[in-house]
This record gives sequence, C-alpha cells and structure tokens, in this order.
Amino acid sequence: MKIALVGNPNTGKSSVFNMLTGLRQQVGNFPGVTVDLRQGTLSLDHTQHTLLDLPGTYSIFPRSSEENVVREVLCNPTHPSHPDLVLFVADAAQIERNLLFFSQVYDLGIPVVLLLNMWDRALAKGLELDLQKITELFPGITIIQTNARVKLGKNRILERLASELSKPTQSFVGKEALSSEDATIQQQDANLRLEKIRAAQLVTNKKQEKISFSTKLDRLLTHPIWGYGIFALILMIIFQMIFTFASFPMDFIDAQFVHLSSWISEVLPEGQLSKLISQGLIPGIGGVLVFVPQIAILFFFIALLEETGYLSRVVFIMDKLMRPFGLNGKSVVPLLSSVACAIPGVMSARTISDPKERLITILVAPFMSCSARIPVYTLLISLVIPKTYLFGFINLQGLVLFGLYTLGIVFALLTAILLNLLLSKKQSGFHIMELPEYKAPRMANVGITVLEKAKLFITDAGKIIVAISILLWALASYGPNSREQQLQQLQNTAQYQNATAAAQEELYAATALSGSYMGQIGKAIEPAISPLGYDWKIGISLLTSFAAREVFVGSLATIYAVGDSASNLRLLDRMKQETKPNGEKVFTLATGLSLLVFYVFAMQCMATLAVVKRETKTWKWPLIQLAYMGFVAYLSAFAIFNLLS
Amino acid sequence: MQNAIVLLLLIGAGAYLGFRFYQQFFAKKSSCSSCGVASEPKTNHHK
Repeated sequence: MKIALVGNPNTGKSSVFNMLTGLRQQVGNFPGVTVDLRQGTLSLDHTQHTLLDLPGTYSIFPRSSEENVVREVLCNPTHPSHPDLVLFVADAAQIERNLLFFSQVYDLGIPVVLLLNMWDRALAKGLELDLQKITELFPGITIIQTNARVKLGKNRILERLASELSKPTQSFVGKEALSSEDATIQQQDANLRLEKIRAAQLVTNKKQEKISFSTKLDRLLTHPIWGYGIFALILMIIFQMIFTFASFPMDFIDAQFVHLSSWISEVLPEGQLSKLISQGLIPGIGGVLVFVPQIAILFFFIALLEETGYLSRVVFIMDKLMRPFGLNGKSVVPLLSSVACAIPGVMSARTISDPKERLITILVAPFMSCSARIPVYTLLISLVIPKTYLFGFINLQGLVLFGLYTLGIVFALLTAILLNLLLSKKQSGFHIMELPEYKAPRMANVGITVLEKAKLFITDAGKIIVAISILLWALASYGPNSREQQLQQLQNTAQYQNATAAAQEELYAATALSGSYMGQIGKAIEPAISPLGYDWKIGISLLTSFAAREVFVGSLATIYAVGDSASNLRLLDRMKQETKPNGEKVFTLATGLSLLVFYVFAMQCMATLAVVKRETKTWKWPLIQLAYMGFVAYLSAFAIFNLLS
Repeated sequence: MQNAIVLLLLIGAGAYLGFRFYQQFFAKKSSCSSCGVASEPKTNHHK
C-alpha cells in the first residue's frame, strides 16, 4: 500500500513522517521544497507499506513546480507514486485554512485520514475545535489528534490505517474545478470551499488574542537592523563551534587511519596490493572521513535553526536585501540550501516562478560555500592560519572560515547584479510566505538530519574518492622507462650514497614520484598553475577535485603518502614539511590563502554542472558558469598569491 | 596474485568513474518527466 503524507507547509509533516518511519527512510531525487523526496517504510500487521512525504502546499492548484508535483501525484491515478491512502496533516491551531486543501483532497475520492497535529498549541492558544462539526462537514472521515513532536498519536494512526482503505468517500463541493487550469475557476473553487468551512464555525471559545511569544520574538529577529546583526552573529558562532568542537573527534579519526595504514603495511605481505591499500586507499579515505565531525556539526546547527522556525525568519528578512540584486526572497531557500550542497540548491530554484530570477539564482548558487568545501577549507586553514584567539575568545581560524563563507555570499550577490543587468527583464516576482511559530527543537529530527547528511557525504563522495585514490596511486606508483633510468642515476650520485638510510629512502621516493605518470601529467600542467603558487602535486589534486571538491584532500593524502612512504605522518604534518626543490615551504600563507580563494570561486563540481544543464535544458549556461567561475577563481588566486608573496 | 588483484581494482575504479561521468552527463532520466519522482522505489540521490 502507498500512503502519502499531505498538508500545508509548517504543519509538522516531517515530524509525523519521522514518528511513523523512524530511521527506515530514504532520501531520493524529488525536486520539491527541500528537494529531497523522502520515502519511508511503515510496518503494519507484518506488511511493509511505503510512506511518501509530499511537499507542503496550501491548495491543489499549483503555483510552483513543487506544488505541481503534489497535484500530479494526487490527481493522476496512473502516476507511479499515486497513493492508496492520504494522511492529511493539519495544524490544529490553523484548522480553517488547512481544511481548504483537505476538502480538495477529500473530493478527489482518495481515502483520507485527518491528523490534527500540534494539538497542544491549539489548546495553549485557547482554541477549541468542534470535531463533531468537522465530521458532519466531511462525512465518513476519521480524525486523529496527534502531537508528533512528542510522538503522540502513532498507535492510533497505525490502528486505523487498514480499515480506512475500504471507507466510501463522499463529496464536499465536487471535484470538477480541481482539474481546471483556469485561474478564475480555481479562485471560485477556493472561495466556495472557504465560505463553507467558515460557515460551519468549527473553532469555538476563542480566548482574547494576546501578543504571542513568537510575535514578540519576531519583533527582534526580523527587525530591519537587529535582524541582520543577529543572523550574522549566529553564523559566526556556528563557524566558531565547527572548529572548537570538531578538533577532538577529528584528531582521533586521523590517528586511527594513520595506525591502520601502518598496521596494514606490517600485516600484509609486501607487494603492490599492500602498497595500494596502505598508501592509496587508506590515506585517501581517511583524509576525507576525518571531516565528518565538522560536517555533522554544521548540519546539526542548520537543522536546529530550521526546527526552531528561525530559518523562515532568515528568508523573510533577506527578501528585502535580495531585491536590488535581481533576486527575491524565494532565492534565499536555494542559496541557503547551497550551503549544504549546490545541487539541491539549484533544483529548489524551481520554486521561483520568474524565469530570469530563477536563472540568476541557479547561476550564482554554486558561489555559496557548500559542505564539500569544508574539508578543503579546514585543512588549509589549519595549515596556514595560526590557532590563536582575538580578544581572548574569537578563534582566528573560525573567523577566517566565516570570512570565506561571506566572500562566497558577496560574490554571489555581485554576480547576481551583473546578470540582472545583462539579462532581459520579463516580469517581476513576488514572495508570499508564512512564518511558523517558534518551537523547541525536536532533537530526534535534528539527529535524523545529521545522520542523513553524514551518510550521504560518506557513501556518495566516498565511492568516488575510493576510485580516484586507486587510480592516483597507480599513476603515482608506475612510470615510463625513463623513471628507472632516473632512479639508477640517483643511486649513483654522491648525495645519495653519502646520505643516511632514511634520507636515501626519502630521496628515492621523491624521485620515483617525480618520474611517475602522475609526475609527468602534473609537470605538464605546472606552468599554468605556478603563477598561483601551486606545485604539480597541488595541480593534480585540483584536476581530480573536479569530480567533487572534497576529493582534493583525499588526492593530496594519496600523493603525499606515495611520495613519503618512509614515515607515517598525518596529512597535515606531511603538508607542513613539504618543500620546493629550492628548499622553500610549499604551503605558505600566500599559497594557502590563494588555494582557499580558488576553492571559494571555482566551479569544481561535475555533478553541479550536470544539474545546471538539466535544469536550464542547455549546455550554454553550465559552460558559461564554468568559464566565469574558473576565470574569477584564477584571477583572485593569482592576485592573492602575488600580493602576499 | 597481488598484481592481479591490483589490476582488477584499477579496472574496476576506472569503469566506475567512467560510469559516473556517463550517468551525470549523458544517461537518460529514470524518473517521471513531469515531477522527477523516481519510478522505482529504489532511490537515486544526487551528490
């Protein structure tokens, strides 16, 4: 049986979904509000049923692509996701408005159960709902009172599900208008339904309206001046936390991979496979897994802000700011989503009805620093920025991280202005949104989000990193015949013969790496990247990180492990020791900042390009984006390196 | 023996990366053209 969760936005649908499925859920490729399609399994009488979480919408008449999804799924019985039963989640405190959409679903003839969620909030507001009248208005329906945030009502839902399928459905005002594309007919249908619902006087005993806690808080958090200041402060605190809280688990994971690598090389018989595992795979995987704590911390705070209802306020206050840049408040959702990953960000731009504003949002979204940049940022910051505190409490490394995120935002907005001037204007978009009430975060929901994101990072990026680590190891371990000659020549030199055993091993590994296939490729591209302060090893990592930005770290880990097989140092320590042929350090402040700026701007993501192509239905825009971002990245990195050198 | 396993791993890694590249840029969508819902319950999450 397929069951769909349907309802208005901010009615606690996700909480109901989590309550019913627990961790038995998957995230799919659904271009909705949050872009992800959440599917879960629900066990009932030893039978598994599919539970589908549809995007929140106010009516069956679509205003955007994600609302169109809901209509398509519900109205088209041949749709693969068409449900056998609908669980309609309604906010008990906003019942009249919620029943408009409910009445439309009811008229479609799909068996539907009305979940009156957030019952406690309705009570706290002094609202009393006449359930008898609701049943009279919609004959035959089952009403279940729930409070999904505290898992209240789960058993009642499960008990009633099976019996609901066989219930006959009736008509509220009829379904003729529901398939109409005519805006006037749609408006008439909505008015008729609302009148009928209001006439039934379902809500009684309203207490005197008081200024709620949410309203008081909104006066501060959406204040034209303080609102922005508080938002900036919250962001800064989050970035401070990322560095402060993550250091212990990161050091621990790092140390475990160093031990594992050393243990594998001791236990396995000497040979190519042993080298591939200890010098290729383990450093490559470990180099990236070490950043899971930081990613988990970032998503923990984002989920926390979303759960409390604060993120909706951010969208609201940003609307005004967005206008001069040719964007609107709806662009904030894709841009904020891009802080996690540009792909859902680009896809969620479908909610923007104006084609020009949508295109601008898609083109600037990859400037927002995504989570794949975190490993690159934190590795390079730890390498070149001292771990000191300004004024005794502001972590300088956290401040630089905050600065990189800000740089991305500023450039996204500047690019938006440029595009706004260059692209022709067609129509002006507007933004309607509802501010949900503030609520205490439900930690289970926060936990599920963190687990989901960390799992995606590990599995999705992990597979590519493993494959690239294997290939990089091979390219770094084998070479043309000339390499053998170089190695023989080295062994005949006085410098080699007079060196200690450890130094000999180091010299040998460095020459072997330099003469390998990877060394040849790296040196071929070196002239193009040396003006930015990069050597050929960094160049190779830049190339491979086009698959995904975090691959940069895994690639460096593999390259340095092959080139320094004698010691089992952490990647950070290896990078600190890395020197140029003239003895200068490779990773200076100038090189580090140049690389950081390069990664803020460069479109180093194959998957994002593919999605931009899919969304814009042309190669023109992704290629322009690639060229523009590459140009900005190169120029900025060049300027930074030469200014600081 | 070790060399043979290494060779197999190299072929596997190369094939996987090639497949990912093809999937990203050239593969046909396996989802509903109007709304993007996967037609199979198996999910296919993007990076």
